[in-house]
Amino acid sequence: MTPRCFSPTRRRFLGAALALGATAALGAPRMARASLAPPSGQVILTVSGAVGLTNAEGAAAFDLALLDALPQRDTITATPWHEGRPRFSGPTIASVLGAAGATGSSLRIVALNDYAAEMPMEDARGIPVILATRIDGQEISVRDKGPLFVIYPFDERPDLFNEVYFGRSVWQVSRVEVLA
Amino acid sequence: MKRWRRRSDWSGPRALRWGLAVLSGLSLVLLVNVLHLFGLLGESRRAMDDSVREDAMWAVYQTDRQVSRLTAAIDGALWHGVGSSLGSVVEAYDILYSRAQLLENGSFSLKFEGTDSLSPQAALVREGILGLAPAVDALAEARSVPALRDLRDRVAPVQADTAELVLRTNAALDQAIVAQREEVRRLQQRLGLNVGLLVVGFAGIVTLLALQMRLIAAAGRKLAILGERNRAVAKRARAASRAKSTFLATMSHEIRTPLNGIIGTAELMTHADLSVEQARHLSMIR
Repeated sequence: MTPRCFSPTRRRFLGAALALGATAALGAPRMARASLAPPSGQVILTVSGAVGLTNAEGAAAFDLALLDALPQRDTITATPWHEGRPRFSGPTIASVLGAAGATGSSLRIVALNDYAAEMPMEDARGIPVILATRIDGQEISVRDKGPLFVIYPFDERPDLFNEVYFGRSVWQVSRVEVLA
Repeated sequence: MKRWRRRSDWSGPRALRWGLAVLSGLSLVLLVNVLHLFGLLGESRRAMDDSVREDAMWAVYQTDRQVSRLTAAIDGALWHGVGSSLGSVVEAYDILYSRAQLLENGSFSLKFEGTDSLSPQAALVREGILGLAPAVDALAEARSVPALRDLRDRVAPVQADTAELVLRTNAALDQAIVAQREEVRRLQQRLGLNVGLLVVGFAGIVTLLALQMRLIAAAGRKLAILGERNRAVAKRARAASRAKSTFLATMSHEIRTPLNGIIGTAELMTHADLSVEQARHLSMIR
């Protein structure tokens, strides 16, 4: 007879409502992403390999606008290559892979100068790694190691601050190959 | 003779105690030293230095490689025509520009302590690369073959400087590796020496302790013998005392009997008629 306690039926109703809401929230962007829009500006990232959604020949091509439309994340961290603790922002790798419908076990991230590093899919899915498009709100030029810079959240996860992850922190990213 | 023996009995344990104290102190000092050396040997700073030096080498290599790519891009543009390949020249230069920042003066000299010839060369390369920017910007404006040739003429000395930097960095890296190996070897030797001395010290302590145990056991045995002897002496003394008591008791009895007779008879004689002379003698007995 305590008024604060929900009756079982009422609780079930609440649960159903919550589930409905969640499905609606998740469903909307997924519907919109079912076909990848073609890039309108200069392509700065090409995701190829085991990708399900394409807008170019066997690959998903992104311009800055397409990347900006994906879920963004801010990572404020120190890195070995920057002074102080800049604010890096950009889409998470997981959201980029989601947009390209990628299914694979690892990624090969290739830079403009053909430097390449392999990133296990666990990193992309389990760690909020971003492809930074901006530093402190400013777009990154090639001369400042842009346009895309792989940024691990070093400050949140100090255990990542070592050479293995420095090697995976590719800058001047131009391509991502999804390896099956 | 007796005094000398007593002194030798005492100085043994005292010397032992002194020896133990000195050895314990020495061992403690050695132990602290060993721990310190061990800490030095395992210090993480060294590993970090290694990694930083390798990063520097990698940065220099990549810079050299990118200069070559820029040269190749310029040659490609000269061959295929300025219009089609200018983008790749500018991109190659932009990548090179981003690399040049990694050759910063301060951190570079930090990475190779003791090899001072390196950081001026790194600064030279860095300034050479950054100095190409106006020529590249002019090329992007003019899009002409003369501008491209001009850029190529400017890149050539930079390429020579980067090649030189690669060689010097490699040599410095080798020197650093040798110096570090030498340092590790020296530390290991010192550590070995200290551990050896420590073992000797402990062996000394164990020996002295064993000696002390033996001395203590010997002293205990001596004490036991002395106690036994004392007991025997006491027993003998008690027997003598008892004999004396028995003798005295018997003797007094033997004397008392005739004495009573004499005293009684003297008493009786006082009632008899005695001459003056006799009376005087009698009073002497009483």
